[in-house]
Amino acid sequence: MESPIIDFSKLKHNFEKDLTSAMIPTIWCTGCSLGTNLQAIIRGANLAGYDFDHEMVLVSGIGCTGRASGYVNADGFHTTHGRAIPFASGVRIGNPDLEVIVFSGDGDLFSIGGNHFIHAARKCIDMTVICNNNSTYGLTGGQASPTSFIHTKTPTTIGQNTRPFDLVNLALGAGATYVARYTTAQNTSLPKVIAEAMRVDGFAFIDLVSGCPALYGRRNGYPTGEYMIQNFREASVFVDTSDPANLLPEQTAIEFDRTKGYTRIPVGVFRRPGEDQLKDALPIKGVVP
Amino acid sequence: MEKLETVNDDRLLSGKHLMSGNEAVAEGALAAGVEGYFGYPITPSTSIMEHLIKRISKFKNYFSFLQSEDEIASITAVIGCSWTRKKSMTATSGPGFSLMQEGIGLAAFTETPLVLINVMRGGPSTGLPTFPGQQELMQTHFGSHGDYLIPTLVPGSVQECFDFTVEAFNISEAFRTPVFVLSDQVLSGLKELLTIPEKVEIVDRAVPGKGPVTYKGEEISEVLVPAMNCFGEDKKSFSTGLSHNETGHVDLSADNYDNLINRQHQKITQYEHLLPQPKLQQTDDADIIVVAYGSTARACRLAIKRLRRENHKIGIFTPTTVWPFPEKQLNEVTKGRKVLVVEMSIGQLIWPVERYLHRKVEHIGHTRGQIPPPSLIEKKLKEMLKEDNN
Repeated sequence: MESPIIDFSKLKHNFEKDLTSAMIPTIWCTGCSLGTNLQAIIRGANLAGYDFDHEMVLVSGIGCTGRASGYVNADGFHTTHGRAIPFASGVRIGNPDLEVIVFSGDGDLFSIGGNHFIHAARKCIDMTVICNNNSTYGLTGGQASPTSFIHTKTPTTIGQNTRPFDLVNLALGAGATYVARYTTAQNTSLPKVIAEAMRVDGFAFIDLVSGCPALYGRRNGYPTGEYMIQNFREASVFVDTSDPANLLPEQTAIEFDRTKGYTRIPVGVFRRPGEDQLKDALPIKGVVP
Repeated sequence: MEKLETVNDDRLLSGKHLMSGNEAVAEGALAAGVEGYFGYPITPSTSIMEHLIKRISKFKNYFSFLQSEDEIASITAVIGCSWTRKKSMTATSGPGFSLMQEGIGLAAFTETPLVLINVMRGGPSTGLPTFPGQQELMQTHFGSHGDYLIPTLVPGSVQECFDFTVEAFNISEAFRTPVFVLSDQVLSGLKELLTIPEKVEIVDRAVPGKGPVTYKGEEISEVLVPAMNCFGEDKKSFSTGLSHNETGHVDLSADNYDNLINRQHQKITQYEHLLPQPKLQQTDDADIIVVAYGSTARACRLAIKRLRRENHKIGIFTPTTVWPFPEKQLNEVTKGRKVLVVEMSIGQLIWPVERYLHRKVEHIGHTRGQIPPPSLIEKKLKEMLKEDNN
């Protein structure tokens, strides 16, 4: 059967005005979570009341997620690998009137860019960081990333992978002002969460658990996007974050089983800015008299 | 956020001062209108950051400053800051400069104006943190992967540290390019008389639709140097480290890439004559021309002065812009004359000199973590003169 030819110039997208039409179609594979996630970010930015023309700057690093900045019709920059956060710091401190969003992958933000993440969180630089956490390096062919689970297969796995980062716990420990985790499956509530993170005066982080069926899923028993989303939906557990016991590392970590896929994904907002939070860590705004 | 009121800061300390090279660099940056500094402490460049902080903490205006977690972050933040139309800079030394290479490539490819001061110390690796070297000449040209050409200025005195930093900002803004200033450990702490003028000529980068920039009386082509759309302005601003077209978006086609990197090269080579020109001293009647830059040139001048007293005719060619290399001027001056290259490296300056002169030249590659002693240069020159007489 011949595949139908799609004339993209005749298609219209719900968020046409917020997208760079010339760059569409995207490079992303069928079943990838990135399209849904990017839409959630656009919805979130609209909800937060961001002015796409004069106010918003979307910065991304390298990788599949890195291309996102080029698809959004706002100011943006596609930096070198792992450097989205330092670039965003330069923009935020350079012009405090701008609202900076970093959207990048787990390999970019936490492997090569890990140092920048913990320091930006510690320094409380005012930005929103959203990690498209699909546990793999998609653009280079699905190698193991810092969030790949121990018993999963990748082209760079010998025996088993090293243990993954719990991004929520890492962000809490590094002193992020706002910390949340959601999955692509919660795409209806996600825009509200993203908007809330964007309004935070300080370092806001969202661990957005996503699927890469084409490269990571295929090798680990969940070959389609539908399967992954269903898995996210079933495994997501909303955590009552008012109970400090639920913020312990054992409670925030994602659990993964080689045969069943994700078995427990604690989701929710793990930290909101309180007075204690901002007392010592005032958002950096350069040297102001 | 509320808009900050603009008041005049005391940026230009007009008058005469006794200052070190690093302080002069910081003063030069302030005079040129620097608005953003991102840096990481490293000997011997740290006092640039310290002096700048001392000065800006008294400012009434907003100044973008951050001490980064490493040099990779500082250069990247400088690029980010520059995209908000702020004149931005950083300063570093050897190991930090190596870490910054990634960001330098990004800045060159995205045509981001910024100034990078590299206070050279002895290398490789941690090397000689508190002693001078001139081993980063090649790194400024070939350090980052890919083809790029970044104007590189080399001061040789405290006054030049000030002048060339101002010049570096003007060049970076006029040509939308990163600019390097290569100072060294000797200059960094050397105190000399610095005269800061009453007025400093400042160039601001082109604004889209507002016409081309004029630099040193010459209109800079808008085709070679496209105006920069910065963040938060009316026109959409986007760029990427991937090969990109004029909108800043990805375009990997052969024609586009070919045009892009050749234009970026040409915008520097076409305006080479507007960059600081080499200094020729006592070259008219000279039998031997010494080629040296930075603090090494100071030692050479002393050696030449002594030999001139003995009626030996020796002159000195001091490049003040090393990249693009002043090929034409060097060829004119050294025609039919012997050449001696003096530097604090096993051999870096000698590469462009021999390459552009198409012949072998004499060389002192001093690698003792100090300026080559004038006596050593004198001895070498005398040997060269003796060969002449034989």
